[in-house]
Amino acid sequence: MRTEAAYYDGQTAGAERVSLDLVGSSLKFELAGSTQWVELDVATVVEPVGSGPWIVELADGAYLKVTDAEFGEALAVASGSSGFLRMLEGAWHWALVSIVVAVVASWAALTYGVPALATTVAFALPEDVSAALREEGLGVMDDLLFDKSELPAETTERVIRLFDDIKVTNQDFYAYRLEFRSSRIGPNAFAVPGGIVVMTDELVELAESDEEIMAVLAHEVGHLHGRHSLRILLQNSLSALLIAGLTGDISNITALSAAIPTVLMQAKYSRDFEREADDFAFEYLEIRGVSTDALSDLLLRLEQFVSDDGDDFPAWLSSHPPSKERVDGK
Amino acid sequence: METQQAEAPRTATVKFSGNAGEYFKIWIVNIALTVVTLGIYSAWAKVRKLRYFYGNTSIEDGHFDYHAKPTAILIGRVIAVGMLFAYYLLSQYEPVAGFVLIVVIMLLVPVLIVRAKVFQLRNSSYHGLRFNFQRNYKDSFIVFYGGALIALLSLGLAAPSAIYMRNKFVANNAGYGQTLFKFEGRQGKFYAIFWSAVGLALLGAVAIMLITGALGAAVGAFAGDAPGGNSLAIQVITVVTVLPLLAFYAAIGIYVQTRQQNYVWNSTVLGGNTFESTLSVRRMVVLLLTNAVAIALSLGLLIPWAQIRVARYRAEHMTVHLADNWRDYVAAKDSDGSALGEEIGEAFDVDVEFAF
Repeated sequence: MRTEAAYYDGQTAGAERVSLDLVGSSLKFELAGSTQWVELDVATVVEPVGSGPWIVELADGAYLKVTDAEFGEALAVASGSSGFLRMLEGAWHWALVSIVVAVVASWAALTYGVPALATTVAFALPEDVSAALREEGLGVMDDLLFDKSELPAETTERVIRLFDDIKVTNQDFYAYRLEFRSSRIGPNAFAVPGGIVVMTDELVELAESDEEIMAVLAHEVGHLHGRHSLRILLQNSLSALLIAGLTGDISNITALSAAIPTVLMQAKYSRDFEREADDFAFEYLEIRGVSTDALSDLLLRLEQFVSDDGDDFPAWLSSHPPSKERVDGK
Repeated sequence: METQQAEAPRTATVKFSGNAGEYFKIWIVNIALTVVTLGIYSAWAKVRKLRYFYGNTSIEDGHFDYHAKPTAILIGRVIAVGMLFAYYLLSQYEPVAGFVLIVVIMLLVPVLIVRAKVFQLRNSSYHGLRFNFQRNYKDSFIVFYGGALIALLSLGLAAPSAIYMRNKFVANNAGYGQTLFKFEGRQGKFYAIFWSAVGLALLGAVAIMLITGALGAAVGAFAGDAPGGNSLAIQVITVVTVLPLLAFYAAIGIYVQTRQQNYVWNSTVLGGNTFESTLSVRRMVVLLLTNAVAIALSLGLLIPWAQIRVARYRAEHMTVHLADNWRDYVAAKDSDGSALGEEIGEAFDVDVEFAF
């Protein structure tokens, strides 16, 4: 089989037109008056992308370019290349299959793969973040959100007893610490990575019973116990990397479109962790023989408090599941 | 090699022959295989994408080609992602060590940029001859640290000097075979572009404030009495002004990019050959903003179409005035470099792309 090909010597610009013969598993062409024989098993046959040329890389940086498709097929057969990618990239039905595979696999990776991987890694690592970082985290929150607690001593002692009741259920919890703060952002409670639970005066006051406080404390201990701060860090980085990998080669102007799915995914992860912490709290309440309504009641009251002075936030953008669902889902 | 007689001066336009349908199939297979192989195929995907775009770009009868080995890119990516996660975890457990790591990477930016350019250019060819980039680390440190220092000390006023220095450095160290490109532009032009962009941005800010104010008054008067009218007014104003605001500032970015790119190419020579880049700011703004809208509305399916459009427009607005015989250009003796610099740069968001 014979075709016209371009020979590039790799040393100078420009091509030499050669007449190329495929003889068995060897290529033959005339160059500067002498006949060149190339065994295909010492050369590399590079398949075309799209309707581009076939390339045969020779040993010394030189290469041949073949545009004749029929000759290319013969080259593929002679060099034993599978043609797998050319088949996939060459037909619309494979493009449709690829869309389905890409959507399903990305969805599975983001919904199951990333959380599973993050959980494995998080629990394989030592639990303690550095003490300095933990105190710094609290310090930042103190600067931005909190003032000194103004609760009377008997109240804080009562709440600390409730917290200690949770601590005795698992020796992992012994190092956890409870802090009270007066809040500039209304009733709330936080878990600071490394083992601190922060309770705001306003939330203690909003609670109508010890059981409700117990429920909130258990929810926050659930965050600490599940290593949620580390897992969310890992999940957010992994998912951002994955989404960037899929959409990454688009220009700066359109990079916003890659940011949208990332933000939605991270909001979903956050909601999942809230549900996990809720489940932990429900389990604890059952151990103590307390109705799981305690958490739901407080959540509903909290929501009422929030929606009095704010707009409703769409569920899919929210970092917490809707309270209605958290109440029903117990 | 004997030197042939110089050819008559001639003019050629860069041609781009890729099409959206053909590229879509390559693109979507790239994505599917990348997800299924947990990211490993992304290195092959990058090579196939660049081979498609390069291979479909030509000047006269010579084509561009991309030669990088996927395994080289994969090794670079694995190391870069490893470093990224080391950084995330360090910042959780040992914040000081994490900070040290990020400082070290930042200090090495001039090295990363040189290595990224070596890999990118050594693996690109035109008419069978590879491009090249000189491993000029000393100048890289001087240009990037010096430029950053000048920009910082002048509170940003002298930022165009830094941009000028970088573009000059990249162009003067790039070569086609052994022959180096030469940048002959002036610093003043970068100031002109920069300050006209600042002026546009200020004008736009004033205009948008006036429009927002007027709208606020109008909507407030219309809806103010209705229950919840205030929050409705705020929502309407937000939607009506935020999107145009984003588009406007994106357009200013495009303005700077496009004018700089034109200027850098128009001031660069390769031997006896000169370049003429005639991108229109207006056309680029329309092109890129409609691309953004199309990509968002198609949930990403129009990404290949958008990329092909831009590549075609860019190619069609680049003319080369040729005076040399390509046969006189010979290869540089140099290794191809590793992909590490480029991949670390990408992972840590170091900008290794230049107008040139």
